[in-house]
Amino acid sequence: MVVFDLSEWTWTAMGPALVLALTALALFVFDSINPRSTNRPVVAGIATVGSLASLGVAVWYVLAGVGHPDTGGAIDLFGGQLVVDQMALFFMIVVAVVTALVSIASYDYMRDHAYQAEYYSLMLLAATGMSVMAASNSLVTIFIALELASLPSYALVAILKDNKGSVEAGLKYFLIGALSSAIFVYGISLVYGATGHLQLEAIAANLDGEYNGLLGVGVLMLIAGFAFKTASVPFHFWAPEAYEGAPAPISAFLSSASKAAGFVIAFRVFTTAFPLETMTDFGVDWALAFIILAIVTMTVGNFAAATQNNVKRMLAYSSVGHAGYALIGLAALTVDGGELVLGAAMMHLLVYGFMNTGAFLFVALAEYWGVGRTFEDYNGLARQAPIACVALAIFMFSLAGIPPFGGFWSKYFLFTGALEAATVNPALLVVAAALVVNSALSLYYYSRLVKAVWIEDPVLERETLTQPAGLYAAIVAAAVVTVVILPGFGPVAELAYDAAAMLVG
Amino acid sequence: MNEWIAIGALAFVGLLIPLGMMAVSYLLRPSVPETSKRATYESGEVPTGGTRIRFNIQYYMVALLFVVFDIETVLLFPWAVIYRPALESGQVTLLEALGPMLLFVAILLVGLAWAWRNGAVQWAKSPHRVDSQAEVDRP
Amino acid sequence: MVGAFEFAPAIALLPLAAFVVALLFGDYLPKKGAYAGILATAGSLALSLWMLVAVFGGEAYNEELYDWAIGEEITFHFGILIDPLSALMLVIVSLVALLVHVFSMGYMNDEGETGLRRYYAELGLFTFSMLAFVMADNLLMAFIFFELVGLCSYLLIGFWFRTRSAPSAAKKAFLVTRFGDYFFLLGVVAIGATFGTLSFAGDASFVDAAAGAIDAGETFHGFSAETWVTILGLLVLGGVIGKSAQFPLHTWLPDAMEGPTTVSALIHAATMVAAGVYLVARMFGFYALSPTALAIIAFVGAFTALFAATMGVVKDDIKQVLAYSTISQYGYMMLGLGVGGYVAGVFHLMNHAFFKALLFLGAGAVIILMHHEQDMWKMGGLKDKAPVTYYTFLAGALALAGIIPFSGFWSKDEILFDAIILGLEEPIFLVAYAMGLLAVFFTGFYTFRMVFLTFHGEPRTDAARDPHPLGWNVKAPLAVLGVLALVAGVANLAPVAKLTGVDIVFLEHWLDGEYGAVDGLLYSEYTATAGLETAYIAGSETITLIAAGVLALGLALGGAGLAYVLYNVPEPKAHTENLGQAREVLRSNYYQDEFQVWLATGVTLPLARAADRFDGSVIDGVVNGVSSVSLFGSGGMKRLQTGVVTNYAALIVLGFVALLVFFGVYGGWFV
Repeated sequence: MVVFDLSEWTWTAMGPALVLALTALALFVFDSINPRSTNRPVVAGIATVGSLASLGVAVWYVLAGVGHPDTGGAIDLFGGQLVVDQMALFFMIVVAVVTALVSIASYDYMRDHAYQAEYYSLMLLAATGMSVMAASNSLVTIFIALELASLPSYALVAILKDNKGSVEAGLKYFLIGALSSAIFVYGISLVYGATGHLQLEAIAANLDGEYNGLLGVGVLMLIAGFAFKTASVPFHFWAPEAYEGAPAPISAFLSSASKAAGFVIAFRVFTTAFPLETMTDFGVDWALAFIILAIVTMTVGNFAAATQNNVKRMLAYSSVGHAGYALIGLAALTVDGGELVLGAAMMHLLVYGFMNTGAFLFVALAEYWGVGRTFEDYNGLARQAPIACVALAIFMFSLAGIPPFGGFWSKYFLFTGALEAATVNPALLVVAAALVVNSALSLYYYSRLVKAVWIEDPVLERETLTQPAGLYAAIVAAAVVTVVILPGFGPVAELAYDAAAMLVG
Repeated sequence: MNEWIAIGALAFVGLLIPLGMMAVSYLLRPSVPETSKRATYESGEVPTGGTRIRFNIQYYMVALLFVVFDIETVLLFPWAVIYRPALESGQVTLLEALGPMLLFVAILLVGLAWAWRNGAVQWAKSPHRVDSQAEVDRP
Repeated sequence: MVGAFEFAPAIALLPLAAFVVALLFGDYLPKKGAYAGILATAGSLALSLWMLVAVFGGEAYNEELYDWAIGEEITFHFGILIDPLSALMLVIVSLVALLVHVFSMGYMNDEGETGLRRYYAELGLFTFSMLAFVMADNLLMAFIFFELVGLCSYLLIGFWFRTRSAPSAAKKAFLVTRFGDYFFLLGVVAIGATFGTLSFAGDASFVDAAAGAIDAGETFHGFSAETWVTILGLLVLGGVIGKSAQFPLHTWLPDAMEGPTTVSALIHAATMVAAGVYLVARMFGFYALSPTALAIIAFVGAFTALFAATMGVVKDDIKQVLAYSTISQYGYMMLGLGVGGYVAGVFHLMNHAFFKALLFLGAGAVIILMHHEQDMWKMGGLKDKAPVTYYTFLAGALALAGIIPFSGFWSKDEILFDAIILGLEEPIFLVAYAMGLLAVFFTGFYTFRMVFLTFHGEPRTDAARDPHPLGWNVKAPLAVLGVLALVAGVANLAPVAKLTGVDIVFLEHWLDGEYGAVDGLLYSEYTATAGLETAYIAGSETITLIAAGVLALGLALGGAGLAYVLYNVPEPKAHTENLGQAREVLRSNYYQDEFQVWLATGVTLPLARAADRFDGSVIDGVVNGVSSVSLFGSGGMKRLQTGVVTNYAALIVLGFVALLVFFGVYGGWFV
């Protein structure tokens, strides 16, 4: 393993995020030189190459052991405002992967739209924000990164300016987002008031128990901010609308990358700034808050998804449900550890990044074909597009958590992790039970979609469906990874557990 | 004695004062109804049209650009204040002191160039012309 | 240790390769894959012999090769255990498999059967499974291959799947043995859960752990360690009883005759049925810890030996007679093992493998001769027309009947000797001995009834008058096995050794680790563990030995003589009428099949119906209820999403305030 010496140029540790930012700027420059260009191969190409480069850098850093305890530990930048450790790189990988998949898929999806360069540059700016979120280590940088990720997202959801649904979704997303940001920034101010610091380690060092009530309200408000970003109940209301109205690749992007980024800051803030032990003494038992959120989110997401007729909306609710699963990673943190379950949540977000992106990209494909939006409209698609439908079946079964797909393993680790933590905190038995019940329920609506495309007869005769190369490539790539991540689970799990152990331990 | 009670009391008093003033004026004022009192403008101008009219989007465009440069100034100012002392202290090189700000300005310039090229500062087209222009732009 | 044992996995893998080759390319190969199978089994035989030599040279092998599931409490692995017992068994299995492959060319290819690719592929898989089972170094691996053996026998018994009877027989064999294997699986799980290991040998073997637990006086689940070991042993024994066709799970075996005769030879002599008894021998150290389990093994064996022998008396189909003889002979082995005669049991297992393979292949030859006629009443007079078949068959029959000096005599005599000396100390075992002894008479009778009806007298049908010629590939295996049936007894001439004082009990030395051995798997250690007391008639070993031997031989000769009188005539008549009422009972196999069918339809079916009704009403009701509630709840959740953004904002704020109030009160922030 090449040990990469970053001591001279520590800021290069942010490489993956910087590459994304540069790519966004490159797109702006391109668009300035050639305004309103609809040269799709070039802009999509720049975006794809940029996100793949970001992925490559992140993977290279992981392999070279950047931020690993063996090579000097986490890298602090700008006085601890940013920190690059294993977890940051892990989530930079997730963000870059999703961005790459979505960029490739958008090439076909956005074929008849104006604002090509704007679309990709906004997406890359949002990705930059998410990537920086992964490394943020201070409430200020977190907030800035969060806004950097959010603002382009609002515009992206509404980018289909002539589509009422898209514009409405964008507006709703923006309004709810503004409310949540307000709550979040208020929470930051309260935490600052209680501790006098914004940098996470400094907050942890200055928890003195003097202003418990203030701190408690602040912490809850921070939770509210994360809940918005991760689409957790009760801050999930924007999600079904935004995902349904947005262009399907953007739905994929938001529900996978944006959610993962929301989780990474939640993981970092709550493990670094608010050690559970101290906080429980102060009467701020945030793990309990996440237990409640996890259970409610899983249940609401899955139950609401069960009877949807619109495929995209079903996926939107399923995405809410999966946020509930990932919340277990925080809910099951206990005083004496929990890196296993935290690592499991990180793995779940990685696997989710593939299977959920793939599922939304299939919807993108269906929208590209113009076959319609409901389950009935999807009937019998497998006859005309067997490859994509095999991929869809893989995504659905993996989302439902059926072996041997990646989704099974991450869910299984979450389950065992929760059970293990239940020896300390019996409330987690309820969480584990909710996980099982909701997974069982989720199989109902996931398999419904598989049944529709594979078993049902088409309602209407369709014409031959084209096979757009970009969308197909992205879908197939996502499906392949969803399957082969199983043999590769060893290193992935190791990385996730290492990252979690660094954070918790 | 709980300190939160004091906050509650403050909030209560805060509500009480305006309500009280309104109540007192209600009690004290004479009531003389008259039509002219209900006119929108006391000067006698008769209003035309609704209040919900569209402002030209260009106002917002300019405002946005203004915010961009405003923030640039906000960040430039403290930087400029410490720039010379920092260099004289010898702890930072010229590149380290100047580079980040140049980069920052450069990024903003890219944004400005893009906005310019995309017509953000082109002023005043009648709605009719904008529509026809849009058709030309977006076939 | 680099040497012979490095190649041990190849013994099993060669037939697996033959399976793959036959399966993929069988149709394009000459003889449809027979050569691949022959080459592979010949290779296995050569390697097995090498193992035998290596063990003879004082080595043994007990290695874990691959961990396939690693847990905190228990790790599952594949491993190989080559000790005197398994080395011996490997040779037997690969030899019989090789001969069966050769014979198959005569029995299947030359007779123009279809589906030969499938046949040879399954044969290869069968051999692979059995060899891997024999080599297994832990109970779970043994179980896996035990099941594979069962699967292969299912496939092969049902080889002629277009007939009505073969698929049904295959199903029966599969289900009945599965019933036993169910207990076996429970036993495997229970042993693993109790002792945290499933290895047969070595420091971390469950046998050692069980012995330690008994010594320490531990209790498991409210049972004393000894009782618990007995329970575990009996659970595993369930699988043995199913596979080795012991009473009451023997019913599948006669039906299994629906498979090709070559397959019967393989199943009866060396693979499927032998697997059960081999398993008992393999974990004999475990059974030795529990006298109760041993006694049960002995009685099951003795009863089966007698019970099956009586049924063999009235059968008309040559293969049916052999089927019942198999059940009976495995009963002897169980009896031998159950009375602590480990060497005797293994000895009989070996001898039986040879002479039963011989008899079945001989029967196969007869069936070829008779143009696929199996009814003995339609044969007769084949003695002169097929001398090779006759003399080899006769050798097998003499061995089966236990006539001195054929191999079967020595091993059966040793079993009965072990039983009587135990019985003289603990009289209850005299009952088992008596049953075993009585069975000797019946064995002699039905064996020679079969020989006389088939080969002697006048030909009774046209087919018998004009038999189909036989090829070398039929005769050669018969000759090899015929010689072995005659001389295999030399391996352990215990009575001669005791009488003359010459040290010629090679097998006992072999199994007692005189050469190579794995610690803890020695005959003398088993004997010490079991600690069975023995006694002799008049206190003299010699008198007991002679008395028992003469008695057994006399009964065997008596049975054979009766058969000679009744059936060695030019035109034999059916004498079964003379049996009166008993005839029907015997012909119907003591109504065992009827009883089991009644069990299935009279007891299991109503229970299953009740369970189905419960499932249909209560369980489905609950499930449907859950889904209705879920869907109803789903409707409620959907209504939360009104589409009005102000409602969302209100709900968000409300939700947040609810959380705030809850945690504020819970955490005491406002105090």
